[in-house]
Amino acid sequence: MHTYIIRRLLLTVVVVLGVTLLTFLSIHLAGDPTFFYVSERASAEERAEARRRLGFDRPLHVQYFDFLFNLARGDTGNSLTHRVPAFDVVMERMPATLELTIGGFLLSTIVAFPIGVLAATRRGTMADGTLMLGAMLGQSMPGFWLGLMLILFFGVTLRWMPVSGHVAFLKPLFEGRIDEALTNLPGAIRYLLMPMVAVSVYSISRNSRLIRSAVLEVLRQDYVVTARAKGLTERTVMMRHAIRNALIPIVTVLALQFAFLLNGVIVVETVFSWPGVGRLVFDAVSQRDVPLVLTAVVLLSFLFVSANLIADLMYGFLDPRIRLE
Amino acid sequence: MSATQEPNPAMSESRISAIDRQIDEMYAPQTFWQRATSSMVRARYPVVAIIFLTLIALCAILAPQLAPKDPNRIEIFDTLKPPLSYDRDGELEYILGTDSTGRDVLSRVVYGARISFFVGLAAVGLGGGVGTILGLTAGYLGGRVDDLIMRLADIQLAYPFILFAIMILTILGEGVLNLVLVLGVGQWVTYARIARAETLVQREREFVEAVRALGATEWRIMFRTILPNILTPLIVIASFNVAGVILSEASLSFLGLGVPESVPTWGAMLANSRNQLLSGSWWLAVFPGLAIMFTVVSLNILGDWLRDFLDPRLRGSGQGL
Amino acid sequence: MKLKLTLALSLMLILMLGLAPMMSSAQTVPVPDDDTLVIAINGEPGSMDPAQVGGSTGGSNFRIMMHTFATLYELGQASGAIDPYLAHSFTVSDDGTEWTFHMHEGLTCDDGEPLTAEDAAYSFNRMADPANGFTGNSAGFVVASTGFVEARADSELDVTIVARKPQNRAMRLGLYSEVLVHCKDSYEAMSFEEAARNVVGSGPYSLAEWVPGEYMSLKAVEGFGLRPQGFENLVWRFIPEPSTAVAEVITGNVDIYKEFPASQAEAIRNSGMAEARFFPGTTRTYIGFNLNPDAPFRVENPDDVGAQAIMRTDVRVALQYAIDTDAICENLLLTTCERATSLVNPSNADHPTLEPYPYDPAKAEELLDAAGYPRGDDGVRFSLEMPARRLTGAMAPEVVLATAQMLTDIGVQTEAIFQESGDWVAALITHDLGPLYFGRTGGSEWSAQYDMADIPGHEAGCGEAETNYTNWNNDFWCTGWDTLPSLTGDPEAERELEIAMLEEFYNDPPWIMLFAGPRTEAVSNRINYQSRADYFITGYSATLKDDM
Repeated sequence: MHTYIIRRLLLTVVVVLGVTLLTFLSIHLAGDPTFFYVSERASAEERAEARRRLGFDRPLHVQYFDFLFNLARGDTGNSLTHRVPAFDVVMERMPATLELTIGGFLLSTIVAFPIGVLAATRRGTMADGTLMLGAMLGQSMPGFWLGLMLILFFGVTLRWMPVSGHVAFLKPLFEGRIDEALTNLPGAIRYLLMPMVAVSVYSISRNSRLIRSAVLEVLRQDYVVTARAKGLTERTVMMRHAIRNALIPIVTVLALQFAFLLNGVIVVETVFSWPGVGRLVFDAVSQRDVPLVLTAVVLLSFLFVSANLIADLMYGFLDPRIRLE
Repeated sequence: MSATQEPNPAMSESRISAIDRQIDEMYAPQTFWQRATSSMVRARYPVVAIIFLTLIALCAILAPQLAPKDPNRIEIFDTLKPPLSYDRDGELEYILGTDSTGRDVLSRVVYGARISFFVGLAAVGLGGGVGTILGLTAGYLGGRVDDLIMRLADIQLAYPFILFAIMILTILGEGVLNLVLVLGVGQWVTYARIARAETLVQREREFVEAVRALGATEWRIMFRTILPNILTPLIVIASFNVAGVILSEASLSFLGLGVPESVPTWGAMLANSRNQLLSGSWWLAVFPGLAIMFTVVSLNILGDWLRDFLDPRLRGSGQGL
Repeated sequence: MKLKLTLALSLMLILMLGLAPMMSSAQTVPVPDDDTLVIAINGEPGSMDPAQVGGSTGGSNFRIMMHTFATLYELGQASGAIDPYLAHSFTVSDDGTEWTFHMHEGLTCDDGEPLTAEDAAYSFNRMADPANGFTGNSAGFVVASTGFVEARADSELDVTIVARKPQNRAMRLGLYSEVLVHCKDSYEAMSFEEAARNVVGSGPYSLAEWVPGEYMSLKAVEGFGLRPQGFENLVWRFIPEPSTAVAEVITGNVDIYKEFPASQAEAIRNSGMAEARFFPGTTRTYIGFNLNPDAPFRVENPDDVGAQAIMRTDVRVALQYAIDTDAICENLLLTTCERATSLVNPSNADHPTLEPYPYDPAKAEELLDAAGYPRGDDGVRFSLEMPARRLTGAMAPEVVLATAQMLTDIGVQTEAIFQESGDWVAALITHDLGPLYFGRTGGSEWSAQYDMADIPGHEAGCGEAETNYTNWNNDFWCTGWDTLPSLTGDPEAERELEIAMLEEFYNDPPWIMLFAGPRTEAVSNRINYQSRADYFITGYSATLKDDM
């Protein structure tokens, strides 16, 4: 088990290296970043000077290894647009992105579970049909569109919800200001609600369909048939046997969902003015802020890899037949 | 029928042959297509989905014939006409209205089918093809090749897809083929992982051993013997992924990345409609939105059915959802 | 087990809800009130260093820093006005190169440090020093455009700014008015990193709170007498998505939002919360003809008829008649606008008598026929590509597509190609963008020469000069531009030459002249606020209406 984790961590290093190399090459292939850091009236000499100052005149491999070397020492370099260490800029926004992702993850799990189980136990009924149709529709709406619709309906027409904005919860929590985090909590939830829904409706739909099939599959198994034959109540059958065994495939997929949700946040952060990493990195790419893009990609991919690792560990934990090596 | 048994005289010849026919029909191996059709008809919804998708496919193929107007023709004096707009002579001119530059919404929706379908199929074809080959190779050859391909997959998995898409589209610029490339590359890993897992199972099976013993080349074993046996789960996933690609295209359009302005797509139409939304030009969003919704729902229904029909094993495994 | 969990959870909930009101007040998203004005902007400031303003690297920080920092003179609210600010007057040396500003007494920076001529000189030298690596408007644009040499403090209150040559007075004053003044001791004590995040200001407001990615809150500086301070707090909210910003205006959470999409005007008006204003802007919108003989599209494709055709003046004149700017403004931008006669803004000191080219497609076709480019069997005379960027407002894709359509309609098949901003700019600067390109360039209301500076004279290389993106090599123009500085002492002769040059521009056009892009601004009904034609938002001048 320990060797497995150590191996996975080593693998993480390989992955992060690969990710940085890919990012580094693509951002430089996209043209000389210097043009973003000179005035549109700059002369050729001024551009050359700026290129030298920014270090873009060095051979690419030198620039890349320089970045890696500094990264290993914990120095990500200054963001070209923010002019402060890129690491700080990304970490400032990370809590907001985590709020959205974790919130979306919890919501998609908590809501999908009862829907999936209910639909499975009432298979073929009106309730099943309605729920699954709803799930299909939920899977057919782009996140940005859903977000705008929520704003329009709950924010503008009904005025029940704030249109956009953010109240910090995780940030004070991480910084040890627990009372502040708790004071902010009601407000934080209020502002989180609509973005969280927008980011997770697709996952809710997907998960509830998945849970329904998983439960149905288990209900067909011999041991459930036996349990029923023994005369156990339907409730006991469901709780003891069906759901518990259905959990294994469900949990794996749910854990992978976390990574999937991170994908949706760039769009949803834009719609709701959410101060997260997604929007930051989008702007950084369009401004060719090389250090900021690289740092954000390293940290995000680290988060991805961690989520995947947790998924694998949970898989092994839930299903003793699987040995992690 | 044993020779010692007399035929029942009470049963006429014709009656017997009729029963024989019935028995034949029940037990004779039906063709694949017969089974598929009857399974589909029993499930009902897939039939509706197929009909709808066929209609969309027809739209895509016959767009130039079906669209009443040039989808890119800007009529600057006819901007934001509501649906069922008549021209000065009282002729029905814009059935589904016009957009903020006076382009005909109906024509754009019809042409949009073309791009959405093309992008969906091509991206899935590309990602599925590359992923399957890599997964097959990794699973079959194992060792260093396997390690290399799977590490590549890990890197790809660790790269948030949308970020990857932004990076690549920034470099390549906008264009239908670039979009196909990005969306295709974005999903090869799914196919590679499944193809590899399936190959690992198939590789050890007796018939593969048999083919190998007969002296078949490695290539032949991989592509002629194993590949056909691992296709089922891949096809199921592909049907879901086409729907996913159509949605991804919409999200990229929202961020201002994707296809050129002159190429009408449902996603871009939906994304562009947001500036008119508060002003009540509902038709700009509703028609492309419905097109996306019906197509995606149809593809999902079809995917569900394919999974149940082709490979009930997959039910509940989470694959393809 | 289950019971315990339920109990624990309920206990936590009770604790949270019970204790919440007793603890420090919760953080909230700032909303407008009697003391607070909320302004929405799409971009987010990167650095708040006063030497690093605007440009592609700073985004919207210039708008905010115009409140936290003061300038020697200020680009005024009214059309064409440049008003005294930290300085009450200035004198110019006989040769026109040395400008001495006389500053007010008793000025201070936010930290109490006295603000004197030494600080003003420091502000100019700091941003211009290449060793500091600043870019953007001050370091990139002002330094180059004024030929800045150095700044020095002559006395406690007199600062002299030295340039290489004389220059049109209004232009130079306007450019100097874009340099933000900050205190020497405070900024020398800070590292560049610290200066990017901290503000020791000299303006009417000081930085109170900066929540990255969300908002920046400014507080009125007590005793700042040079400008009004209509609200105690100015909050700048960063809202990237225009539809969301409009929704915030409609729900009364935002007081000012400049450059909302024109199509949302009705929704804003119907809400009863805000006015939806349309007014002429200063940003010149045009279609450039790239005349660079060495541009890749000409070199690689020497037989391309279109790329060769636009080298001819008669063809470029013909194309002017193809564009219906009135239709574009009325139907796409939902307002009216005046077609430009040259590269100078109609609202600026443009040519007094020239009439804009009318929309006359028949005439355009006639001229093209006469020039020897008849329609082919497919109705096409020649084809052109037109790179553009995805921008908003007057440069929105709809406008670009409409112009391409209008050119196509007269047989000049034009394809608009939307490029990533960086690629577009890189090709623009190296004069490789084209054959046509859809562009914009910032303009002014206070100096014709500011607008004309896009195409400098022989001394700067004329055709080869970096800013002459069309590579237009008109001898009369280039010579004229070189002559202008020598005429600064004789405004009448200076104006006469300007007018002759503009006529040359009109007759041998390197652009298809469109218009100064109209601007939009949503302004809450609860405030008095005068909109500006330029990019800025003067939040300090907004006041609460009496009846509110």
